[in-house]
Amino acid sequence: MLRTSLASFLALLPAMAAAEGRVEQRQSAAPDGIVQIDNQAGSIKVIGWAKNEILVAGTLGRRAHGLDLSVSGRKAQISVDTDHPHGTRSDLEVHLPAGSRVEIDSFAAEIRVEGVNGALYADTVNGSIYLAGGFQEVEASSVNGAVEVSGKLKRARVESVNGAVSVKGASGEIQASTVNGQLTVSGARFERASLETVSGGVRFEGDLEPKAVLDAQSVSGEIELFLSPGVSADFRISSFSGDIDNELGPPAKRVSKWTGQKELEFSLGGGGAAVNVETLSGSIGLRKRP
Amino acid sequence: MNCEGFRQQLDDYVDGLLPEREHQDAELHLGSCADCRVEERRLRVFLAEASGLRREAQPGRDLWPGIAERIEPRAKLLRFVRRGGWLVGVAAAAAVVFALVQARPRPGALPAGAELRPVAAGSVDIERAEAEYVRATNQLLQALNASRGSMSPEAQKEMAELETSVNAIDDALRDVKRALETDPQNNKLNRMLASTHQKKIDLLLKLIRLSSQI
Amino acid sequence: MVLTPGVGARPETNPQDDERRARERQRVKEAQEGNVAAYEELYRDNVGRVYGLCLRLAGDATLAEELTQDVFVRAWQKLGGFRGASAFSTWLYPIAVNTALSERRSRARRSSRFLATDDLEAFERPERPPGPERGIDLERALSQLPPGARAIFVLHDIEGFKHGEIAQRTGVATGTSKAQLHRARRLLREALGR
Repeated sequence: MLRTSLASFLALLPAMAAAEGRVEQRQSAAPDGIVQIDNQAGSIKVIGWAKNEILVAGTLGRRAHGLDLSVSGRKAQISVDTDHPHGTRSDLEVHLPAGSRVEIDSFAAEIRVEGVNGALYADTVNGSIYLAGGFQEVEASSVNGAVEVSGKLKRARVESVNGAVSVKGASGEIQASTVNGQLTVSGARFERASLETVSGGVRFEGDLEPKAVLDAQSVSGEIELFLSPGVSADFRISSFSGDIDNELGPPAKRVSKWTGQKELEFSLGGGGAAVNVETLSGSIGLRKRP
Repeated sequence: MNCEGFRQQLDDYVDGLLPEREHQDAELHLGSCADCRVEERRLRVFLAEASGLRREAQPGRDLWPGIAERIEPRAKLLRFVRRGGWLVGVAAAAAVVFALVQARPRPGALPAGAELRPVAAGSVDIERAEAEYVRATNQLLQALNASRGSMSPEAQKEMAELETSVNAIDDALRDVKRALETDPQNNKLNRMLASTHQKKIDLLLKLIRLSSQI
Repeated sequence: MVLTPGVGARPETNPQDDERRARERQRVKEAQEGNVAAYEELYRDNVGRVYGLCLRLAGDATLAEELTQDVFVRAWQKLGGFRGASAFSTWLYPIAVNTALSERRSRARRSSRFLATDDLEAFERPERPPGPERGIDLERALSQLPPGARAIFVLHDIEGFKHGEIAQRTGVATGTSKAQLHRARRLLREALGR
């Protein structure tokens, strides 16, 4: 019994890697299965491909004992085996089936994903996340790192606390938020976008679908929307104590004798899309797209 | 290979670690040397005995109480988060505020699992909602503090850095509340206060989850 | 199911094993959510193996008890990262090895003795009566080895690690690990008269 559990344990270890810690493992996997990746520090690069196979290659940190790649049914797990997960940096490059649902958990690793069209969940604290491609669904969150998403998305929830969040060329539904990082959405055609910060600035540049809804809110951050003058939308803008500068239409009006609250409601191009912007003290700018 | 040479290689030979040529030389020597065969046999018997030693042993006393004591703080934390006890107050508070302002909450503004209860107009109490948020936040802060005890110094340092992120939200809460003092019935402000509270709660929850992983 | 030492193959799964694994997975899940009673059951199932390993590596029952507690506390802290790909004991085992070894390393540092330069001559102290002492069993002889040599012998000849793996876990070079092992074997055999 004891020997067996030892043998099982040893079987989980890869053959001893070369002195510099390079590893490579591959296993076949379902085309649309779940792949969980756990590497707390270093880097994780994920590339979707057409093969029904997972290939993990990379360099393990000094205090890593090995790489664990195990596939059971439709679920695959990749993790770095170490007793010092935050203290040892490993760099992994993972090729996996493009239709996978990818779940990445890290603390400080930099995460890059491309060519995956299934779902993606990436969670990190100090690392940054860079996602490119047409995901069905994305949830990406960092605390101190930046999060950048580009490509066609059906549904995305993207957030950072202190890092910058940037969404490019996306479509569908977007929820993006930061506490004090800069939030930038550009080149997007989407149906629903919700942009929220506490003290970070918000910059939106793009077109609006006929029935799109754009909500932008900040407490003290500056919100700037760059829209085409030909856009068809109904605007509801308000700030408690910040300035509102409207290059697309009429100026804002003070609505209270006792406070500095300003509001602005107007329509362009016959209306259709909805643009709602609210701040406490952050200034709001509606500008013409360059 | 002579006997002296063989004896030097004996351990590696028995462990199967000799390169091909040396291994064959060793086998050849063994074939013609009775003394070395005896020595090899004795080593193998010894190693068989070593590998057959029992590997399990029971400690002389029950070690569990000492372990239970050290893991209890984090256990409490995990149970607290799982139970979602804090959820009830927050959901109620959010429901109150959103019903008051008659606005649809933005997606993600309510904690998972919370439901909007219809609130009769006129029975709304903003201050109670605020109290619920504060209570929930304090519970989460307490839980976070409790988890510190079982963390290593490096982990505590990491957590302390993460917790500074909460400061930006506290500043914002202060600003919104100050604005509300000048215009207490302002629906937009109340909504903003609620959603800022929610952000703080979301962040604290995230920190709690992290503290159980560091 | 009869297993003899040296059999390395994984046993075929039978319904009892599957059931046991399923129960264990459930316990792990509950423990991960803060259920201390569930974790206690995992402790009870695995303490023998962990204590046995710590006792051999530490050579001292009191220290082994402390190490065992450390192992289970560390495992609890890391439990969130256990995804259930293997049996719990398989996941726990390297934690036990590393805890026992790093404790040894830090103690060695405090008394400025490093594993690599452990002096096996201490076992050959002149005041010991020359020649083998009859009747010393292997366990006692083992506990009298200096800690560095004992660790390597325990890991290689009892627990079955390879030199490369030992080198990585102890920070000792493979060549040194081999040299230590061979001397340990020699000293033990001399003590036992074999």
